[in-house]
Amino acid sequence: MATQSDRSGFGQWLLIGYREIASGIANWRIVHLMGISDLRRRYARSRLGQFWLVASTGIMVVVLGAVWSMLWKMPAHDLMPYIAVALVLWTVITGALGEAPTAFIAAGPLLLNQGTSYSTVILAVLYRQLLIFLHNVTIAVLILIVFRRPLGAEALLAIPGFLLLLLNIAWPTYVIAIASTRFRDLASVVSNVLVIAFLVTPVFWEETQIPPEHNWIIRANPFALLLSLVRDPILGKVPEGSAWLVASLLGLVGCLLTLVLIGKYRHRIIYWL
Amino acid sequence: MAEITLQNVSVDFTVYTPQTRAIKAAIFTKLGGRLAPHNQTITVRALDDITLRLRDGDRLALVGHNGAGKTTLLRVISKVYPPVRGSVDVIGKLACYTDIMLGMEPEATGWQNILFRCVFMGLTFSEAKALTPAIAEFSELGQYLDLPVRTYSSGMFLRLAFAITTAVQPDIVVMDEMIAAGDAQFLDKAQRRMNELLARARILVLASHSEAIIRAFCTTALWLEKGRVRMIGSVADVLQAYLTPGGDRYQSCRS
Repeated sequence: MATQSDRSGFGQWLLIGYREIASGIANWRIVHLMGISDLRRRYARSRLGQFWLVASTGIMVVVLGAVWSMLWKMPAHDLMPYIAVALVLWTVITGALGEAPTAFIAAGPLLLNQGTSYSTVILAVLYRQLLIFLHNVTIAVLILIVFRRPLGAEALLAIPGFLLLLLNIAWPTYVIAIASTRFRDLASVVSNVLVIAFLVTPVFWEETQIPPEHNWIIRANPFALLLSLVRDPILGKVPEGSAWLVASLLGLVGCLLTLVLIGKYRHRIIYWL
Repeated sequence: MAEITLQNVSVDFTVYTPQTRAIKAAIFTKLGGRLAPHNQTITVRALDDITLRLRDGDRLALVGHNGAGKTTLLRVISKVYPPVRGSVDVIGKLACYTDIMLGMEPEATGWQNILFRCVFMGLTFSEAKALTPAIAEFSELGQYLDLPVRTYSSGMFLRLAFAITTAVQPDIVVMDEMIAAGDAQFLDKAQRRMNELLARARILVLASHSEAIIRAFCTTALWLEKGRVRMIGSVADVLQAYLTPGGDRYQSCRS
């Protein structure tokens, strides 16, 4: 370890991190196969594999939407599309971050028997969540059609919004994967944090329902910011410029820090497995 | 040209556990690597100052007790374990046969698995498709290839894995025990294929406990003991010293 850290500084770590990501992208074929393997298992032995994949999201949207609109006497026309879009996005967030702690451990046989870059594993996690997302999108589309919510021109902003969301999911996934391979307790911490995050993020309630004095819950919540960048354009609202700026900065700084972290700990990860 | 160069390579394993102390007693046995104190945690020195240079034509056997560092050394050569000290340089296409089923999926058919396994070995999809007929023919699985491999017997599964893995010729072969597959008749064919593959490989590194296999495939042997090179030389010399009863107690041979 002495020699490793002697000749490595900040720039060196960045370079190692960059190479690590590049070699993961070069492994795109393996990423693809690892990503679809979970989906393939779902499809393999049931005729309705893809249906079961979206069913849980669909049921959640419909039940939550129905109960909430009754409880709060809000029109389902407003609430249901809001919840549908938010929940489909939340599934991506919680899917990637929830899978992150065990990502390297689950890929142990690959990492131990064939020198493979760690980013291959992370990209596979993200790719899989993206594929699941594409299944779940049908729910959101169905709800938007049923409640006659046509998309406006501003809906196009949801695309850069989604890319920013992915970027800001990608780097924490990598960080969590590295850290919780070393500190196994983190897996439990992450799953608990995700439950709390689900409750304090406007997924099934609207930002306007929070009393103004508690508004910091939303402003300090990066998940709320990322969700709004995708959901608001779809529901006909243009997110503020500051929201874009903050999300971009978060992504940029996060990615740089992650590259440094990768560079610094890359050569230790395999020993933690 | 293929080449493997290890320069003063050391590998430490840190034992991460709250009960490090309880585990300490268990590790202090004849087996395993050397223990080096490292703050509060326990560090096992799996490899200690290994220098090794292999070139075209070298056939190296690794011998030693369980926990002597054979598999660790194979993983250092395969670039899985970055050494804590020292450097590793490998020139040439390396194939590590420690898990020949890597990438295979029980739910997928034999045909799909040929593709998956090939891609995991580093082929493109079109290269894999081009190799598929030859692999299918060699495996002799016929119509079974249309079925999910979870329906295969373990022998059939292994046979398929073997057929795929040995369909690609690497420059350097790294193996933890000789791989083989199949019933008596297939075994013969598999052995012939393996012999050809190993003959064409530029460098072979094989960890094995089988004297016969080492004598058949290797020319040089390295005797690892507690992560150190105890002896390196011709297979005949090293095996004689290693297999002599009590031979492992002659500390004077330590190089």
